[in-house]
Amino acid sequence: MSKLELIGLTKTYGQKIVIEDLSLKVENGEFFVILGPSGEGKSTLLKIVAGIEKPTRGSVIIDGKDVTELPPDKRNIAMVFQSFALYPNMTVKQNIEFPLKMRHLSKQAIEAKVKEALRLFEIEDLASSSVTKISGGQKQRVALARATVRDPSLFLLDEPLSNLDARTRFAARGELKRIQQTLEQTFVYVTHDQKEAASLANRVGVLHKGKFEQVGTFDELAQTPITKWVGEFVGEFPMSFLPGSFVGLDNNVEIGFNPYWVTEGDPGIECLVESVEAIGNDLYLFCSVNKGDKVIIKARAKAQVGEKTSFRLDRYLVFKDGVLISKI
Amino acid sequence: MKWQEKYTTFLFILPALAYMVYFSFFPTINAVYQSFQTPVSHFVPSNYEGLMGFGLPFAIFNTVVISVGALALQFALAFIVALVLRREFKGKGIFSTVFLLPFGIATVVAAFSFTNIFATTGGYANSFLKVIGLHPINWFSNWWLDIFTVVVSDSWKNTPIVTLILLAGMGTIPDDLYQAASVDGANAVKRFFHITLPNLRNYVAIALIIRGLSEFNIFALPLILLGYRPVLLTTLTYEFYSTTASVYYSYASATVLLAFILVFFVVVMKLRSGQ
Amino acid sequence: MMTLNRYIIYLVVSFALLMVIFPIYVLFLIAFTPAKYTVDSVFPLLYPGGFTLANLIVAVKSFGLIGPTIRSVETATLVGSIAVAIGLPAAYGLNRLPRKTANTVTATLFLANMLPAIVIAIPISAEFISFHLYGSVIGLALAQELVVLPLTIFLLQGAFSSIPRDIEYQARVDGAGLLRTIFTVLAPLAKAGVAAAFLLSWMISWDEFTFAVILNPANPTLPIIIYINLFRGNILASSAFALILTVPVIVLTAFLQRYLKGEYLTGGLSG
Repeated sequence: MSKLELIGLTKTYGQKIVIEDLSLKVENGEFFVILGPSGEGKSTLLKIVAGIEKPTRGSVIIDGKDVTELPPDKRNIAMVFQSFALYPNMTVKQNIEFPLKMRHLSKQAIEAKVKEALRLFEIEDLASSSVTKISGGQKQRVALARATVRDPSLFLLDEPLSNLDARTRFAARGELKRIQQTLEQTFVYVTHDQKEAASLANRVGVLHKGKFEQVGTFDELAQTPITKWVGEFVGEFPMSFLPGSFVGLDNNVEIGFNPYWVTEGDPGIECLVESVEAIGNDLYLFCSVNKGDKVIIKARAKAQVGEKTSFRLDRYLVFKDGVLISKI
Repeated sequence: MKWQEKYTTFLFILPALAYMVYFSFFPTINAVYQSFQTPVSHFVPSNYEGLMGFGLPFAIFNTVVISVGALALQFALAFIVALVLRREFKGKGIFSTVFLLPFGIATVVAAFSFTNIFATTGGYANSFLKVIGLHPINWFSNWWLDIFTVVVSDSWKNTPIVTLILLAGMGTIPDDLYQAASVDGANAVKRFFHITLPNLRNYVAIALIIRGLSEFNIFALPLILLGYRPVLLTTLTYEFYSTTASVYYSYASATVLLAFILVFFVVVMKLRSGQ
Repeated sequence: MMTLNRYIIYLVVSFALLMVIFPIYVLFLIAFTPAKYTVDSVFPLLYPGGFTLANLIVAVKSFGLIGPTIRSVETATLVGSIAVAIGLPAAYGLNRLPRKTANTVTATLFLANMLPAIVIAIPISAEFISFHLYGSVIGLALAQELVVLPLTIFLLQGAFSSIPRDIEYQARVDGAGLLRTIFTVLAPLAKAGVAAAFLLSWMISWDEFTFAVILNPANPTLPIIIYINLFRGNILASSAFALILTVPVIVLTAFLQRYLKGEYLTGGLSG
């Protein structure tokens, strides 16, 4: 039995289709990341799972039970919002207690669980502070503590790191993974950030136009995108595309390749360097081929803007009508 | 559950909505219906014909003049104060608090003060005129002054509301519009007419509706300052309600008032959406 | 931004302050100085000629101050309580309804609010006589509710909508039902708005004239007793009543200042 199963979910607002006939299975203990650019319905999908939004069609099944018609408070899920949604009129401790109080646990049980959560997230010192007076990183810990303090079937996280500054975010990412592994719980995690998807996910689903364009490990998505759109979206750099004629194929197909699938040097495809970007020890060239097609290649040596260079393709993917047809 | 919650949401609103509709629409329709009744006959315009003899046209005219005059004065003052309140200056906090006071002060109290200010003997306006070496004035000696005292008193009470609405509107105009305009060489006056005013159209319309409708209903101030003459639609209505036997005349007068309010509402809404 | 000269600003501010304060000053002057310097003189003094409490004492002793004051307090408190009781759920509901439906409801409330009190009051007075509500505090409160209810709803709507939706969702996810979410999470967060809504309704009822004069002439509230005494020429007595009516209102207005925003006064129309 899957932990979470979505069957034929569709969500429309008037004429606008946000989610279209989407299906998914998430297994117990999995860290599943929903990745996509903003405005692709990621948050809507998560809210449908939570019961905050009702799907136009389709079902949500948690632990084998159809919960589509149940409101959020009857679904036994925990959720962490992008804004953390801490109750501003309560202290850190009162925030963490809240979900337990709503479930009418005994005083001793609440006390014990809250203590444990405060310890797990190293926020014992903050217990009686107002949540409006703590830092972003601390807020995130409180939000996570509140989510984990009870024993929900499923954790839903909506971009929980995007409100943190860069340094805190890095640390929080590691901690999130550790927590998930310690708790052995199922996480469904929404983000637009490639790095978060790459480092956290067991599996990633790329959401595009209300559907999962592709579901797989992050490496699968980056190395073998099944559509041109995934190739352009997933990975540190977008995949480059050229007409098939460059490798002797028909012009009704396109070839796609990652920057590090090429070897710079003659003879090869000639291009003009338009800008250069250094990342770590590596140098990447943004070039134009035939003045039209833009490609990104990893450089072997230093290059100047305005120079001409050429490259050979070590491997590439062939797409027809935007869909992967073969791997070379 | 969700399906039920949709209905719960509506149930939350229902008491308030039902209350407002029942207690305002029902009596209003009743008033219109009653205006066509007399003790002896039904659906006749005789109440209106009777009112003509009691200065109905004059009441309409006076109501319109006071409304237009008060609106003009309130908007002029409110624009000036709102522009000032958009700036930072020392004592702004205290000023905005004090400036708002007339909003809270009862119309009757405003009427009390202005009765004493404009009193012919023992009036503070005349004291002031005497101090600065001018002749005292009989403030209620002619129609113009009657209208003037009501317009001034009403504007004292209601300019703060107009100011608040205009301020809310000015807050929605992005600062970079002004910066762009000054870079383009527009001076303060040009910026007011080319940026502030056009962008405030919606808020001006709202303030116009809210204040305009209230001006037609102006009642306590003229009742206390002027009594029943010069006559207004509201004081005419009240006069027939409280002093004569024919309450049907007051229904007719109230209906005329209602008609004016509806026409005004429709006209402003049309202007607002038409531009 | 308009580049207003600093001097012009202070000129406008001083002039406006003078205009606003003068009528209030006149009220205090008449109430607290001997009549010979005020209403009994042809040209009353523009500054306080003396100080006396006699005017107030006479008013309290001979003009029945207590009855109208109590009636006014009762009516205003009832109006404020009903406004919050009905307005709170309505404001929450309006925020939750689909935009189109909410706009229709808002427009209806607004229109009902705009119908003239004098048009409504006269037919209502006939109804109230048959229901034994005429001249009663409850009857007057029910009528005045028409004036304050839409304003209360718009103000509370503003208070609710300033609470992030995520907080509400979070409470639901955390296991609170709809009613519990409203009362244990949202209402405490909007408590300042709720207090402001109550006080604003209270104040408007406290000041209200038209319904009070038509529905309760025999059991007058403070504004009506002021009118009656003015009408009879008892200026000193009415100054005492006006003072009692005004002092709480000055405090309330200062307190409510930050809630008296144009956005609420315009109701749903600005959207």
